[in-house]
Amino acid sequence: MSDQERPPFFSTWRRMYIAVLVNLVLVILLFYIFMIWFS
Amino acid sequence: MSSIDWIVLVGTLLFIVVYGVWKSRGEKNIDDFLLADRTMPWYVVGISIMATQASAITFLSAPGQAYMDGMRFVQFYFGLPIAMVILCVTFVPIFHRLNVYTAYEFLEKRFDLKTRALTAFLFLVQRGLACGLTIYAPSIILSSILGWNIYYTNLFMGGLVVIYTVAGGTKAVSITQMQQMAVIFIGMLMAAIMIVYLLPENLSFSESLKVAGKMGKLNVIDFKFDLKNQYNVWSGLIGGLFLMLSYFGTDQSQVGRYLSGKSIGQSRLGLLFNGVIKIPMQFSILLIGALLFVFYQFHQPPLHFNNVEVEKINNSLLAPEYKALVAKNEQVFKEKQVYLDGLIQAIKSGDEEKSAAFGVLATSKQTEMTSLHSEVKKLMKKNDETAETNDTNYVFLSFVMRFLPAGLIGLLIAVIFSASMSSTSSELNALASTTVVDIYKRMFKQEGSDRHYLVVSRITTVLWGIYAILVAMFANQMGSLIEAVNKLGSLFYGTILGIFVVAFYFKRVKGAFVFYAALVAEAVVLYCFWIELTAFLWLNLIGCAAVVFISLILSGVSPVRVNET
Repeated sequence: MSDQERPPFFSTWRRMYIAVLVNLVLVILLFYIFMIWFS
Repeated sequence: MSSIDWIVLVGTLLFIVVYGVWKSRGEKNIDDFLLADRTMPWYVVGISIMATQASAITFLSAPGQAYMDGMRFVQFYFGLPIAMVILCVTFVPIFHRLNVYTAYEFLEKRFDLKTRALTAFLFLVQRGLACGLTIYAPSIILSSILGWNIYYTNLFMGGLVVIYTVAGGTKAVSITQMQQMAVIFIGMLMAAIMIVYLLPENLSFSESLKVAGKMGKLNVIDFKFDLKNQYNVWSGLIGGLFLMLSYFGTDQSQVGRYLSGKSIGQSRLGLLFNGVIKIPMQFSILLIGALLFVFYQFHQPPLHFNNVEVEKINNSLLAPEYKALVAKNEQVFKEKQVYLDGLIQAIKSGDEEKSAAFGVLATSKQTEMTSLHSEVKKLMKKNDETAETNDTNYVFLSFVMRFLPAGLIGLLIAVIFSASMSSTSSELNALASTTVVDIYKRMFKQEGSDRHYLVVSRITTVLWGIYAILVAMFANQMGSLIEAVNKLGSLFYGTILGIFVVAFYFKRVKGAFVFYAALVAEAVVLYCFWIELTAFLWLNLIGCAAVVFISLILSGVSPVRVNET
């Protein structure tokens, strides 16, 4: 089974993983802003 | 329930079952039955992974949890995206390349038969019981609120799942999970819209959130490091990471989902899809609970949400005491309205100082109501030692039954059924896979035909289905054992993950070392649990670290290594 399949939107899997982790950081940041804003 | 609710409920469930059986019809082989012939695209893999994890309790419990305790539970999932990335890098390519049916098959290739057998056995014991509770947990709530017979509810829910899981195998499981998730999404969206619609007219959505925030229910993030605190950013990121790695990497009910992907890339995308969607989804469900809290600031909530227990106390000698607490609760609720009016006016005028002050006053009244809630729970226990006093899981469904219109009630009950069935089907499929591949085929009949294993897989699925329904039937006689069974998974997950981590990252360590390291690590985890050393999530890390550490020590001092080098 091929491991060479490229991910969508990103040229490498490594970049895809980084995007997922950056998204996590942004989500935590957004939640924090949400909490502060409404509290 | 009205007849329109019954039509919506039965129609939705029958459509899902018939559609699943029809779409997965045709000649099958064992590969097709256990892994959908490894042909599933990423979105089916991703939704299947999410549907497997999200059981009925997720949708019943999470809004109730936010109502009682705020939204901090969402932090539990912060380790999930990191776990998805690690699985994509390590587990997925290896499982795919080795062409395994189960995660445990890999352990024999890497270590030996006894390590494979030990992990497969632990999985079967824990998941077999958990599968029964996946059926039982929503059944007990539905039977309490709707007055249904719990045995028929268990039988109906479990029976429907067995029909399509036996008929269509993994393909039917994945296809029905797509429909089930669609029902869940539509149902929860409608519930959220209805809650917002039912909020007071003078309160906008943003102002409602401010009321929730000022009263401490939007406590989404807590950066304070505290080992005893189950839900903060660090326990979620670190403890949650190890729990999610264990669950998604070593539990066959999840491994089977992404092994059905048609390529390594499609399996990876399915996992990453889950990594991106899961946290916002959980946040949305908790937000429904926070909005429900705001709704109940303006509508008198019951003192206790479990009607069965309320009826029991009402018909007991303690009824006068209970009624006094109810009257007191109504009195405090009325007093709270003054502060809530002040809070709303302050929010509308943008006066931060006043809104903070009124928020504190309203919260103090809410705390008084919480104390009365605790008192009524004690009263229930005094009346009946076995009383189910935790009503968190009843908050959402109680609202649905009291305030939603006909048709929507049926849809929301269909959501509960769909969520339970989507988890149960994956569990049955995984239990059958592990029993056939890791036990029957490996230890009893290695040279059977493909057709033979297919028949055995179907029989095994039926037998596990019967077992799960029986566990569900007898679960209400298990008392506090239920909680123990729920914790059982977390007690073993860390150790099992440790075995896999050693397998992947420490090539020098041999099977015998990791086997004995796992036994010692498990004893360490049980001891830590016994003395209540830390919050639950950290046990996953302790178990995993102990296996790695002890197996490295054993392989370091072993004469085998000396001979080898």
